[in-house]
Amino acid sequence: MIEQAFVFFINLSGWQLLGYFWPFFMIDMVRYVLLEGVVLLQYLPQRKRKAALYAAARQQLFSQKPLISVIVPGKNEGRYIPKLVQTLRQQSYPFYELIVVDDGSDDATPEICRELERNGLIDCFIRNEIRGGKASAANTALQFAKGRYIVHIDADSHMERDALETILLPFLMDADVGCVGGDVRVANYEDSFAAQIQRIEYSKSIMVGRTVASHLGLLRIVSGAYGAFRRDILEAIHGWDVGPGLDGDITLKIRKMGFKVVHEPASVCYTNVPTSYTKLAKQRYRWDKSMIRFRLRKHRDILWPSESFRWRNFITVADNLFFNLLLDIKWVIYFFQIIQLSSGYIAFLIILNYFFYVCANLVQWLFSAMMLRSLNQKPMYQSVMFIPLMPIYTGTYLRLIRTFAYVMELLHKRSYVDRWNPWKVSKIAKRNKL
Amino acid sequence: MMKQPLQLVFAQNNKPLLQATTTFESLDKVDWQQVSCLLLDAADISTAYAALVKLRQHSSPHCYLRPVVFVADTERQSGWQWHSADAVLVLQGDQLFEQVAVPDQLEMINRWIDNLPQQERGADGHLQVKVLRLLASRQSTAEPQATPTNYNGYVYPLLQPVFSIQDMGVMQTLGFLEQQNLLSATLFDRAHFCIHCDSAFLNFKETCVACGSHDLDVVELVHHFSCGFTADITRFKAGGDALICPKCDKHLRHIGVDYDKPSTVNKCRLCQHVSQEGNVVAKCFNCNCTTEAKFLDLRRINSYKLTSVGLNAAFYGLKTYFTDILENELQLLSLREFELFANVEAARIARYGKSQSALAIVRFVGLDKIHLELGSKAKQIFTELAGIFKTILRETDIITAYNESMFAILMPETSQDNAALALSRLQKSVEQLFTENFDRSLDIQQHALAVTSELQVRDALERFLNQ
Repeated sequence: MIEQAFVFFINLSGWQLLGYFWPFFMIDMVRYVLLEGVVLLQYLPQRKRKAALYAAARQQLFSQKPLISVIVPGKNEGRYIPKLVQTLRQQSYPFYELIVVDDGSDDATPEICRELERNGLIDCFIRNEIRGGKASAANTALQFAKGRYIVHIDADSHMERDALETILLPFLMDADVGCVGGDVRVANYEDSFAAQIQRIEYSKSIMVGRTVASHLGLLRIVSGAYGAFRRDILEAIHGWDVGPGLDGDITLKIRKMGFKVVHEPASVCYTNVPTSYTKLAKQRYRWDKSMIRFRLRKHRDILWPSESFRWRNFITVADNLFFNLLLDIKWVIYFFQIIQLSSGYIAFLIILNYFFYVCANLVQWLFSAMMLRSLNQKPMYQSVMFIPLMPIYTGTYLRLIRTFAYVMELLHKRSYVDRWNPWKVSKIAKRNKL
Repeated sequence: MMKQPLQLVFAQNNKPLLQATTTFESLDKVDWQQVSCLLLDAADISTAYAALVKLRQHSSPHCYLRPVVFVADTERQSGWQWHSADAVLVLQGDQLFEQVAVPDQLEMINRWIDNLPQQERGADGHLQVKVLRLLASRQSTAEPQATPTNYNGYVYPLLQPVFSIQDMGVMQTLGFLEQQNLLSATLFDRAHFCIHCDSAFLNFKETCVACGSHDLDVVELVHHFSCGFTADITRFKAGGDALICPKCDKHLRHIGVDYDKPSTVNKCRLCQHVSQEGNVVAKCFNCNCTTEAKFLDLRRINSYKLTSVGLNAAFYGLKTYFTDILENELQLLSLREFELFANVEAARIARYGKSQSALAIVRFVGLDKIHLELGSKAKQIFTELAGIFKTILRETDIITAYNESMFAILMPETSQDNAALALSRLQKSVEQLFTENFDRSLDIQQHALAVTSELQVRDALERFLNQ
């Protein structure tokens, strides 16, 4: 069968190739392989040339010694805090304060954090007895932060030794930078097969994808798991709005103010990802719903002409809506096309499509390996063996979740009944169409 | 009529004996058998209490145990001193002091004194026995009373007069008697005491964990549901009957509907540090020392009741007490000292590995009841028992009492088997003593174990006791 598919492939003309495999050759390969490859070819040498600028920024950082407020909002995450505290204590940049806000935990989080506070390992621990949601907890921390920069980090994360230092450098290199995203990688990849697959996905979409978007000035999200913000900007917008998806929301708000949003791949943070496919599905369902809620509804003004219209912001949101939402139906069209016009070759088309997407993933993996090498970090060689499974993961599993999430959010606004927020908060958010 | 602070009421005709010349020094000459109770003029309570202190600190049980009645000229009686006497009587109208009718129930105390064994009626300076006798004669419990007049906050009114300034405190004495199983304790209260001066008058206050200042603001946090803005309440503008959110300018009217108050925080006015956990310190009113709350002495304030052993000790004195006899005969060590010796021995054996030592435990079941059965004759038995101990044990053996009937013996350079042999000899001799002299037996439990580095004396004794 594979041999027959190969014969079928080599007998195709150029136009036939495009006709049979247009979703790959005209969309995905162009957007995710060619474009990213071209941008990386420009970015990596340019970053090397900027080494002197990075060194100057580092020197400026250590002469100014600005205080950083590391804020950790969360619920029932006390068990992760000691490890986070430990990695913070090992940071090359020691001028930080750690503020932990417990959003109504019902486990041992308060006891763990109070003990750490007593031992001077947490500078400020605030327990909100009544759960208010992630935004409320982050805003509580912001209220008491004294640092010039705010680093928002998830409790179940830990950082490379120079992470704090490197995430601040973009602020010092460009005064227009409003927030910087750190490179979030998978900490618990050895725990399960699902986590291993996510490790590859994170390296593709965060390390490579966000670096490219940042280089083009189109980055639309600074991950909630690890990102740095200027405190004056956060105070000007009064902190985070109600989520879920508050990280993407605040990034767009900062973009709208005219500030740059940057990804810093050298600032590495490791986070724990869901280890089962059920938990992963729930997480992605929540994330995908927020795309509709914030980009299509709350920030749709970015797409309309106005005094504050900016082309880069427009492209940022339009790119997201076009490639994720609109092209989500391309597979339906492609499926009917095959059934109608090429039903005799279905098996060949599936085999060849799979082969193409494996190749594309392999190229993307090579991009990530190149990036790691250029950052003097060790590439993830073992993960290459999982590449052949990526088309099933991204092309089928994640696509099904995404499509379901879009439908549910478009038709039923399911993000407003998500248990991620307290019901009283969700109810008001829905009533006020937030 | 000239009133004296001390008046004696005769038992026979219940007439008061008024002697202007009676002094405390002359109390020894009084025929106490004729005295029903002592009336103290309590028009001035401090003078009356001072007189009571002198009486209670007298060495003769006839005097210090005798019922004392305060005679007041008013119904208003404030202060714990009023509770230190056995009764308080109030003069009615122009009633004369000597016409006061003494309550009959005080006679119960006199009967208890009269029943004291003859040899126990002599002078008694033993503070612990005085405490036991005061409680036993009044069939009373030692009840603490909170007071602002005593720097450690509590007094035991009945017992307080027994103690002079030089004596061990009331609480320590009662605690000691509880350890000896002579009193049983029931929790009355728990209180913090200054570690510097023992005062209970402490001013507790929260201080900033960062700078130690006590100039703290307690700030409420407000969470606006609609926009997620959360800040201290002072950041929200006041708008009529509602707060106005600085983020979205909306009115926050109803708590629980528009907003909630998730928590409060302490904000230091001096260093601006924010924390929900203030460092609690206590400043002592007495010595002005400031101590962190966690370092204060937290004690149980108990009420105390006599145990059956305590009742016997009250009646026959501590000299008839088996552990007391053993202490004199064999130099009984405290359990703590014994544990130290055992630990040193275990370490020595572990280090050199050339010799072995044993811990022998022996329990006389029902030894405490011998007091009840034999009264003062128990002393003879206990002396015999101590003699057996002395014969069987060597000079190098160390002995401690876990309680009145259970003893542990550390036998250096003795194997477990040899220790068991010594114990069986002890058992045989004790059985012989009881069967030959008292026509009854005494159940003995015994156990020998090797001293090793794992040995925990207290645990071993507990296990043995619970078997």
